[in-house]
Amino acid sequence: MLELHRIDAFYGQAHILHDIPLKVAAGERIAVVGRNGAGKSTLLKSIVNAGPIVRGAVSLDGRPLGNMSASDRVRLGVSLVPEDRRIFTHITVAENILLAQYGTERKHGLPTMEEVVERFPMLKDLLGRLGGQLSGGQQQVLAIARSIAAGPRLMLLDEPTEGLAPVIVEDLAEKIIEACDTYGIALVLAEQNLRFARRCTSRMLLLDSGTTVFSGDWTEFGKSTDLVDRYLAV
Amino acid sequence: MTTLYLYAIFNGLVLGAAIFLVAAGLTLAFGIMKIFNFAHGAFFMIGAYVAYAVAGQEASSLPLFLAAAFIAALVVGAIGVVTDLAIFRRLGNVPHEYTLMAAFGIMLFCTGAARIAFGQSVHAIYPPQAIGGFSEIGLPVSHYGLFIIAAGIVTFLALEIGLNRIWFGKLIFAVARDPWMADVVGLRVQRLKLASVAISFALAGLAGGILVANQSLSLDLGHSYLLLAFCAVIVGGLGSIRGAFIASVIFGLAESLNSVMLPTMPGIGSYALLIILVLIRPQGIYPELSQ
Repeated sequence: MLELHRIDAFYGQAHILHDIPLKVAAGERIAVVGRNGAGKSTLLKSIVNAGPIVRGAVSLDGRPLGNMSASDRVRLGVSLVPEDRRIFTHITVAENILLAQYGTERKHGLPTMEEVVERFPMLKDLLGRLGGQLSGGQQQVLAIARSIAAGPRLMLLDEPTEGLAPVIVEDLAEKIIEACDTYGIALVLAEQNLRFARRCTSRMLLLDSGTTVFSGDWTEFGKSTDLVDRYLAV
Repeated sequence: MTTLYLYAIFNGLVLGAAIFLVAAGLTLAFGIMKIFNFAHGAFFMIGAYVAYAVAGQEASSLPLFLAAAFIAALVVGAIGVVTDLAIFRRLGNVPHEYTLMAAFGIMLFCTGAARIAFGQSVHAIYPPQAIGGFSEIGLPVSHYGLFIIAAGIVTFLALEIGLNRIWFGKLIFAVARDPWMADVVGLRVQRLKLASVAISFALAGLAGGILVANQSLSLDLGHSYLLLAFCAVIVGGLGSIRGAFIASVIFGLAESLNSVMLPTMPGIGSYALLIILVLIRPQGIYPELSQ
């Protein structure tokens, strides 16, 4: 469904991504891994056109997206959960979810609030609480719930485990997999936590300094022992 | 002596409400668009001229006076839409200094256009008879003053409820607080910004239509309230309606009491207060939107 035809991405004069190809099939889950600064977040933002200047084509279902705005891409079913969550702090948890659904301009076919709460029970008692009053973990869950509530076909998830307690990370992986399977959502997960990334996805793309150094499934990656040492070890 | 101070306090409240009517649009424009709109006074002046053109020197009835103020709001709001599409939107990705210069240019343009459209004559405008009198309640209270206080409170409540309670207001706040994320969740950011600009400018027009009475209507009308409105916006917390309301009342009272207590040094109280409040609370009284 998603295809990046060798894209380059820039912030001003800074050339961040070099010639990145990526194909994601409907319902497929793929991880983008790499060190800090490898270009993972830039890649996700390039897919939704939310920041970097992108050269090369991004297509969805064979349709080139060109300069289409991020908000229009949302209406095509692409949803980004950014690294810093970006919860709207002035409105309640329920309103954050409703706002994301409002943005899709779809009147039917979106998960109901009950379904969202059933999937993310942590939010049940928080629906009336302001976004700014949530802990980091709660905000992360809300950010993912907000994205899923918008009924995406492709979810772009940027480092969801950052700053979370291990027990929450375990639970989060389950929730993400469940939601993607239930709603048939394809996933591109940018992550440094290899264990988490491996659990959530079947295939991976390894970036280093904005270039692809490996692309394949996790078994192949596991066989190439030097990749972790060369590109992921601190 | 007590009557004098009570009278000063009443006048201070009237002035405070008047300052807020001007400051409301100014703080909204800053909070949502991050535009410090120097041209706001010029649009206030245009609103006053439009109301004058509709209702004349003395509106024959209160409904006509109100209708003229609302027409002024619509006209100035429409000018705001054109201004945003033609100028402010194009400056969205450049440093704020360019927007300041553009606003200054717009102010000069508006003054020039008003001079061509309405001439340079000074007009004395009176409130309609229904609110033109006085009541004696221990001190003479002007009905027009009470009307301005009521208009200030109604405008404040409308904005408070509109921005904090209704869905449209929540969308506007979402765009104001995080336009990037608003875009990423699918909100039509430019449309919402345009609606905000229209409301901000309409508030300037409405203020012009309401405050035009008992004034000498001239091309300089905007200057009379603009400086105090800027003070209220800064002290209130840039972008905060609630803060602007409280600060407007504070400055209205300061200005009015200053004229009684220090009649030889008009205005010094407000500016001393501005300096003190900025030093004590630089983030403003309610820094909600500027955070």
